[in-house]
Amino acid sequence: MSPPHIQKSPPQKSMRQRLLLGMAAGFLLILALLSIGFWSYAQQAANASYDRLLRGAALSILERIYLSGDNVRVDIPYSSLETLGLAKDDRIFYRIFTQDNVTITASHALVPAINYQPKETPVYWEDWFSGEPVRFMQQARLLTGNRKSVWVIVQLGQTRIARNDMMQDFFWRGFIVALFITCVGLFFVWIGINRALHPLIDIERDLRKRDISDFTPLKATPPREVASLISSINGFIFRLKNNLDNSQIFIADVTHQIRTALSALQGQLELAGEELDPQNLQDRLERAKKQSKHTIHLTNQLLSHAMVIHRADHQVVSDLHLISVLKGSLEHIIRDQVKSDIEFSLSIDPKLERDKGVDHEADLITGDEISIREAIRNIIDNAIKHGPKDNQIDISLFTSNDQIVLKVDDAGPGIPCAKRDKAIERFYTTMPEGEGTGLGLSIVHQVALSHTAKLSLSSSPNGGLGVSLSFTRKSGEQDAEN
Amino acid sequence: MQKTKSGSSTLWLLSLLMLICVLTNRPASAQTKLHIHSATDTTAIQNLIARFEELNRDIDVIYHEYNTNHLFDTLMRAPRSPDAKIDLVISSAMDLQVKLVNEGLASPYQSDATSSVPGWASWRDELYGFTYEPLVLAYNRQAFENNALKLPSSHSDLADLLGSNTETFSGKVGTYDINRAGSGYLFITQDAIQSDQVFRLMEALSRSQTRTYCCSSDILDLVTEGKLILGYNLIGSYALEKQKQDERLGVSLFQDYTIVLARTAFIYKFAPNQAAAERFLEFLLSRQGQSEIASNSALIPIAPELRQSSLPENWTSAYLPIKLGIGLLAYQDGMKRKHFLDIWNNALRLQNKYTTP
Repeated sequence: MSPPHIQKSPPQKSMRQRLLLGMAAGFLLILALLSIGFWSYAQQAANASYDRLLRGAALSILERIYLSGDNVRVDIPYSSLETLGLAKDDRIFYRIFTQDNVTITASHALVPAINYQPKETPVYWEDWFSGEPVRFMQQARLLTGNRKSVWVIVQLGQTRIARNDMMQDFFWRGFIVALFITCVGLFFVWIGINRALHPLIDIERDLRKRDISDFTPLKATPPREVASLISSINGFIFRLKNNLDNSQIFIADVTHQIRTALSALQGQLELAGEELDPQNLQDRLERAKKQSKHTIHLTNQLLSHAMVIHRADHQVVSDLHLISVLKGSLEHIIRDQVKSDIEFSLSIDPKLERDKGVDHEADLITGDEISIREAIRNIIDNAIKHGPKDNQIDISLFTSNDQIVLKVDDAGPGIPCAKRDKAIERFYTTMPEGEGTGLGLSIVHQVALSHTAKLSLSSSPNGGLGVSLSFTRKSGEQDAEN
Repeated sequence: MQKTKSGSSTLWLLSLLMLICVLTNRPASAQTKLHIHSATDTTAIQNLIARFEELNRDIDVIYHEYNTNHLFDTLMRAPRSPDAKIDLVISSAMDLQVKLVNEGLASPYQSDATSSVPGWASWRDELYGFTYEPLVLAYNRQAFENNALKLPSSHSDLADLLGSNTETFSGKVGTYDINRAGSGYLFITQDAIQSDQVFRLMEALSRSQTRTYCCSSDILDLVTEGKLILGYNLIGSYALEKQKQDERLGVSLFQDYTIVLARTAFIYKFAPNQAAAERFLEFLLSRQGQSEIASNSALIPIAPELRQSSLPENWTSAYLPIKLGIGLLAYQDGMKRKHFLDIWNNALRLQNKYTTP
């Protein structure tokens, strides 16, 4: 077992933190909006409250304005100013004047409202007076005498101390309640997030505690949002278990195969040791030699199989031209078969050859050269081994849409349709005991799997087996254009 | 060794001498001058100032005495700058003080001492009352005995008394000239606010040909001497002080209501010596200052537990303190004041003698 591969991952982001930050930002925004609302509400409420004092005082002063002959007289009632005194610390300013802006009586030379038309409803405004912000109001009354009528206007000004106090009081009360609700809200959000994340924590705990030999599915009863995650993990566990089971079976098979082969060799050698007849001895040794050769072949095939799987696991891939790979492999194989009567033929789709000359692209696939060579060698070895001495082996390479197909036809006995699926399995061989390793097609199948190529077995026109491997071309689209 | 020893002892003696010099001899130039502008008899307050100076050796109090209206005019006309040389303003005319503060002429001051001042005697953290002085009726004991007169227990009793003894009281009743004395104007307008008897009383005063004076000390002297029989609406603290000196003077309170004034002080907004003014105000309101007022001045302190001992027992429970606040500005309205003075002057046949503050 290889040690766990530690990768440098980007800084992890906490889901809880992200959720909390998002919610906190939302809550703060709401709090800010509420604060603005509270502020303007508090301002309105405080003004409304203290404007009533101003209005009450103005009304009681207006009641005490009378005409004495042609003169307007005012008797400011003690109670009117006492009313204003309810705003305990505020200073007041007043001026009572006629519609012609003639002062009747005043505490200060106040400036009346701009563009004022005398009326019996009050007018309020803010101004700066005597070094302080002051709330002013103005209200008029029409005095009707025997000879004339005159509008008399009362202007009152009051500093803003009580208003501001009240406003701040209102504001802070509201704000503190809102702040409290925000905190409680965030607390519940935090609890909610923790509850929502709990299944994930359960999974983590389950996986951490799990024995490496335990392949039972996760027991967590997940909420909808993580159900697919859990089923994926469970699926993965299932596949891992299968894979491991397969490996164990493979190891057991390999052990069995090698032990059987070595026992047979051992048997042959023991028999040879007891043989006195030189003729028989020669025969025994011949058999032992054959058995030894088979064992070596078996070992090589096993190593080849393991290598192909290993390379597939590690994704050793590059771009390669299938034509040159094929030609390179054939050179080696044919060199070994020079003395035999087997007839080889190689036919390459002219389109591929032509294209190759033009752009070197048409036979380009992505894959592992060594594995593909191994596959080609096994297909042809199989053909040689199973076929007659004057075997006819046709090797062809052609395109089909975005596929490039390598086909090997022999004149051997072939494999009946019913047994073809089984022929791909490990250690299944149609040859008599002790001759085939049952690994050849299995290696080819493994290479096909790791290249997402398609392996298919058919009957060859030569009467034997036809093996075809179709790879996906890298330049499939270009071919379509052509 | 010996030389060193004698040398060091000489040095020690020298430094001791220098220390004594530092402790006793303060250069006059280091003195801070505190300008108090006040409408309070100097005699009534001088002990208090002396005690303050004793406790604050770095401060030299300069006391400017005025009558209430004059003080008000001075403040209204004073430059709004430290050049005015005004640090602290004290007056018994609470309404004029409120008007000055409403003008924005005061500077706020807060401390433990100011927070112990009763609510009615403070305004805006700027104006603080430090005395508790009921208004009293001063009378000549001899004249009352001779004429077998009964002391009036209420304002309407007083009107009855004057009405039924016109001969006896003719030209023998004295009160403030409210045209000139701001505090007198405050007292009579408070009567007008408190009671509907005021115009009946005015009529009775008119019928007795009441005479008016600028200052309470004049009236107290004349009542003591018997030239007047009654003095109306006089400041209790002065009357009690005079009574202590002279048995001939009687002091009486009304049982229906007795108006109480608080002498008030504020720090001038443009005080050249704000810190010294704050220390004086703090002293006036502090336990120590209040005790000093109780024991060493003619005035009566505002601290409840101290004023009880300064006021005669079995007097009255109808004390009605004048509340500091905006309400006091009503009778300071120019038109209302003129109107009120017209009625008063007509009643007392004193035409157009008022001065407008």
